[in-house]
Amino acid sequence: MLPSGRYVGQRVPRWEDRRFVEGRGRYLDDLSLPDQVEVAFARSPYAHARIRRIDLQAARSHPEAIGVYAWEDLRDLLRPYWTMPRGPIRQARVTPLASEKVRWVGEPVAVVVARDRYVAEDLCELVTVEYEPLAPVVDALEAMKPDSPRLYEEWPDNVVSHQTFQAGNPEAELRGCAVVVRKRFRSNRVTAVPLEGRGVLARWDPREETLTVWMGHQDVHLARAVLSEILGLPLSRIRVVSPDVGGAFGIKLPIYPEEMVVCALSRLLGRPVKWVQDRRESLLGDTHAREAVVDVEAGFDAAGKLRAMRIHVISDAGAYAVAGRGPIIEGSMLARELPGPYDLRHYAYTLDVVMTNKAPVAVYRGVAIPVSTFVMERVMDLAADALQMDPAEIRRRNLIRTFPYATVTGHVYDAGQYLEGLEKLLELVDYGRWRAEQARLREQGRYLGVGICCLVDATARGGGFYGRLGLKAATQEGCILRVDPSGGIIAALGTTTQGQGLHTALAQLIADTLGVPLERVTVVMGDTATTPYGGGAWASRGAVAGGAVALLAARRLREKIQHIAAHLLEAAPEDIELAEGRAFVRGTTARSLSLEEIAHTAYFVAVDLPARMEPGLEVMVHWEPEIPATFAYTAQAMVVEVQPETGAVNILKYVVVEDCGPIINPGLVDGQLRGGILQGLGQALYEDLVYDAQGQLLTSTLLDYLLPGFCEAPEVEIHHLSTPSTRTVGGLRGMAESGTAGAPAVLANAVADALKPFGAEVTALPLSPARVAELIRGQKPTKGG
Amino acid sequence: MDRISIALSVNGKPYQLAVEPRRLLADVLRRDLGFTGVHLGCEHGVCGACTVLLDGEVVRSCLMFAVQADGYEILTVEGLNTSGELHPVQRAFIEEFGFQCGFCTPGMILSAYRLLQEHPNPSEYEIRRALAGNLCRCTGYVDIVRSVQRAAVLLTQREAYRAP
Amino acid sequence: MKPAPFRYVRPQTRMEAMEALARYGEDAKVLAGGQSLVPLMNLRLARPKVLVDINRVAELGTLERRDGVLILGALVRHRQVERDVRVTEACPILSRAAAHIGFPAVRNRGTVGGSLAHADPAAELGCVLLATGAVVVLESTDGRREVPIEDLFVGPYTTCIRPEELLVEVRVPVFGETTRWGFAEFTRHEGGFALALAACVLHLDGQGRVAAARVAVGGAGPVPVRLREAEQVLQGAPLSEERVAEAASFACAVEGYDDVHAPAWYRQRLAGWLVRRVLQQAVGEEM
Repeated sequence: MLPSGRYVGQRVPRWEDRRFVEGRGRYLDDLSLPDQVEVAFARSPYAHARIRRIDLQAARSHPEAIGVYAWEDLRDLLRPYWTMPRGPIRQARVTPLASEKVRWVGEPVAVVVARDRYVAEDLCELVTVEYEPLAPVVDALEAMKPDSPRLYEEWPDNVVSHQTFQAGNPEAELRGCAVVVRKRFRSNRVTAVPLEGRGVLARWDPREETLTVWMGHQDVHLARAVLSEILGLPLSRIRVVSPDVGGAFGIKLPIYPEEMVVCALSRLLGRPVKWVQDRRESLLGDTHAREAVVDVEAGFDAAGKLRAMRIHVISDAGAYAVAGRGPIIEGSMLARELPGPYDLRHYAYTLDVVMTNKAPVAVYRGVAIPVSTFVMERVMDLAADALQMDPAEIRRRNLIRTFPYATVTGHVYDAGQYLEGLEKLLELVDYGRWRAEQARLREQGRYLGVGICCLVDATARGGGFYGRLGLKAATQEGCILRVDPSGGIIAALGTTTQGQGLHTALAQLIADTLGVPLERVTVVMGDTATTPYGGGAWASRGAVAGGAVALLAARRLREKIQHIAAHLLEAAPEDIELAEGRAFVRGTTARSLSLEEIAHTAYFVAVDLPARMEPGLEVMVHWEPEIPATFAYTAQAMVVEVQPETGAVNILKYVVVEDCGPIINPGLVDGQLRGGILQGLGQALYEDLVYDAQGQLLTSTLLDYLLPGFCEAPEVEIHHLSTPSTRTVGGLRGMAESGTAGAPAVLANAVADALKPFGAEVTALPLSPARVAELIRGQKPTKGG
Repeated sequence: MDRISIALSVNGKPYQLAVEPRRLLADVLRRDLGFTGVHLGCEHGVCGACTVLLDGEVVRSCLMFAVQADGYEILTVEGLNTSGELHPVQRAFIEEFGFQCGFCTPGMILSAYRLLQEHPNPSEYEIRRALAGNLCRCTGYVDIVRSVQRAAVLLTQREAYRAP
Repeated sequence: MKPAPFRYVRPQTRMEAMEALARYGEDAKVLAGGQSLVPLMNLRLARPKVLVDINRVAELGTLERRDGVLILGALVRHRQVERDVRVTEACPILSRAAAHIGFPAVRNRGTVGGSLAHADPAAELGCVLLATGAVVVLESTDGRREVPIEDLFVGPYTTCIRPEELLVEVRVPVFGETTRWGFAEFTRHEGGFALALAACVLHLDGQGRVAAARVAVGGAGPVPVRLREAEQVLQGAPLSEERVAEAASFACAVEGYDDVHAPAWYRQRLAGWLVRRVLQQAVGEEM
């Protein structure tokens, strides 16, 4: 249970983040150090080429050059790394600057150091590289063919990981099905585009032989571990600090080549070195996500019950692995979690993760779930169509109803109200009324569509998820909580925040547990020197894992405070109540002590503490979810109107029912949902990283990679179910990704529903106006339908 | 590289400096003068994070060379709160969860500030159109629209309070 | 993403500006609003050796109505075109179109002359001015020439303006009592570039027949184009559903181009749809 009190459950504004509205945030580029130099990278213009010769002479002899380097110059300072330490995966050696070959457009080949970025860019233009162009491998399906050119010549093909799974007997079951949906689905390649790009500032202190690295990052402890390996420096000599971060959404989880090189240069030059990514570099070289082809066979019986599924996932992983995350996460999750909230016993998948000459793929908000939900929810609608059943009804017949539920791929859904959530959704969206409206308007040649989707999202992964793959990304979380001698409270956590408002949420939990005003609580995150080991912000774990350790620590501290107060006030510990920063004896206001008085005793008059009690008021807690993940459920409904002449999609209504368990702060939860939803809609309607046949990225500016803006953002009605998880502290479930995960599916279903009179099939994203127009090109609408 | 002497007024204070002609106004404000509330999110005029007011009108400071601003008055987000008390627009953004990571926020606040000068009581459509040149990747915008609506109320109250 | 070095020249008068252009020729680029040029410079896709900043040439910023002509100085900002009552009265189509250019911050800086000289195929002003029959005035130290807007655009991002010439003003015929007009564009998102856009200006005679028509389409192909066949169809009769449909069909035949946002066939189809819409706007309730 969450504590009850003044703050938890309330829409508490983020007053402690006041700096952001005053322009006093401190983001990476706002930090500058004396004697600092800046770098720019010379990057590959080819998707696939052998490097014949790198000529740095012209750049080096320029009077303003401080240093110009290629891989050969840095190989004593940096170690190559490999695809992923363990797992069903082929190994490829990656060097932070290209050596021998380049494998994607934008890959860093050389680095230039100058007094500022302007000059550094000038000098980059003087770097000349002689390339021998090779045939680019751009499409994953082509890349799988036996005669395809190979990215890694030592491999027999371009498949970095091939996996199969089978439970039950899907082949036999499919034969007995009334309806089998057979389709190929495609999902577009997108990236996170946080408004603040990546960047790094590294300072080598030659006196102490320590490296301090500032970078906006989601997991400073992981970053330190990776840098330690790559730089060959002991962990104890590296400190990683994440200042304010202007959004991250997954792309600030890996450790990229630029960051490694900047650290090495700081050591080499003995002065602070800074790199701030520009937007073109961000679109070219932040990790990309979601590009996949999924072939599906899904069998349903005559009553609409899903009997069996067999799928083949081809996940396009780009050219490399990034350090700290592997290229197979997305494909593996997509295959494993595709059945989602539906009961299924016969399931088989084949997964091929394929390397192509495009930017590396890793995790982006929602990871595979936006794609798996898109596929699964389209399948549900297509089956409903074939059975002439209402899309809501087919979902009713398949949603999991009893909990805990063991999934076919080995998860356990602890608790949930999946069916209730769907019914609530249909009621809130006024499903029946829109169906009638749709029929009425079709008679006038207007095309409304109603879409629904249901999904579960694996959040706050536990069980050593990445650790088992050999990555140093923790699923446990740590918290040090202290009442300082002035009665102020400081919580230090291993996780981080990039705008989620986690400081406020954690302070709410701690303030209510300890009975203090919110403003007394200071939360510290994102600095390896001052925080305990933890796992950072990913998989919607901030509030679940961070909240768990904050709660556990606060409860433990509360107990100690109660014991001290009981001892000093001569009462029983269970009769001590904490409120307003004081400890009271229950039933009286006359006998009380302030937290400051208690802390004074604990730190300075320890002889007055109960016998054998440790001095001080500080605890440390580590906690890891015992189960592989905590599952959050979401049901979404959308009504759209499609304009057949232009292919434009207009969202008329959008309702979300979500279940993240008990809510710490509805203001923060709703904000995460809305923001996540718009990123999902971005993928569904606007965003697309398009490469041409030569592997050139055609969408390398925000003029071509379109982000949704104010006028594209729909109102979203949100309803919360709040089913506590039985497996987490306080019953919390993660929720930051479920909006993103559902938006493409619900939009695709709504558009498909609108286009039904045209006989159009929606199997690919994004649904840009031109693509929608293409779907119905030359088709005459049928009446009714 | 030749430098050119320019005079700027930023948030009411005069500055005299010599800049390379190619230096962007955003970089001069951020790096040379320390107004780091001016953010660079794209440097090609799409995202609006670098929005400042130039002689009272919103402009993108990544699309101007500092030499062009010679003699002009510039307002950055740091200039809104001069008394130590938050401007009503800033207050509203906190009260209505109008930001998450905070990176787009200075540009949003300045665009909203300018809109409310011209239209003290804007419709939702006017808010969305006036701020359409400012991208946010966190909030989904709805809470920003509410922040601007809230700011309009706070500003009206302040005016009413000041009236004799 | 920082611009390459350049020499900066800031003339105070038209003559100084033209002298600078004459001196530096092809090495020079005119800096007006900078909303298209500076992004290209930041991306280093444009790297002029000399930048002639005309923003201090006050005489280029004048806006006046004289002898049935609205004269827009090259430096008139989009924001002014959008809002100035002299424009909304004399040529309301310009105000309507200007309101669709980018975002407020872009309209505050972007200029009429800059937009035309940049010659983006999807630019609102190029297309609309084509429909109004505007004339562009170019000046150099060698003299002055007037170019009908049809002749200005020779290709995408390419005009007939010579390196030593300065676009000084645009002259637009003032709309009369019987002038009807329409403007529409389709963008993927608010403030974005149009996948296609259309504009029409019709002059009616006393009987409500179309005495003269100009119809223009932009964004679909390399340059904004007049639909002369469509204009002929419209001329000499009142507008009817049939004539509008026939006129619009010519838009579907304009040259289109493919990019990441849409294929050529889609842009052509969109152009037809937009032409129908602008013609319907033009006649309003009369049809």
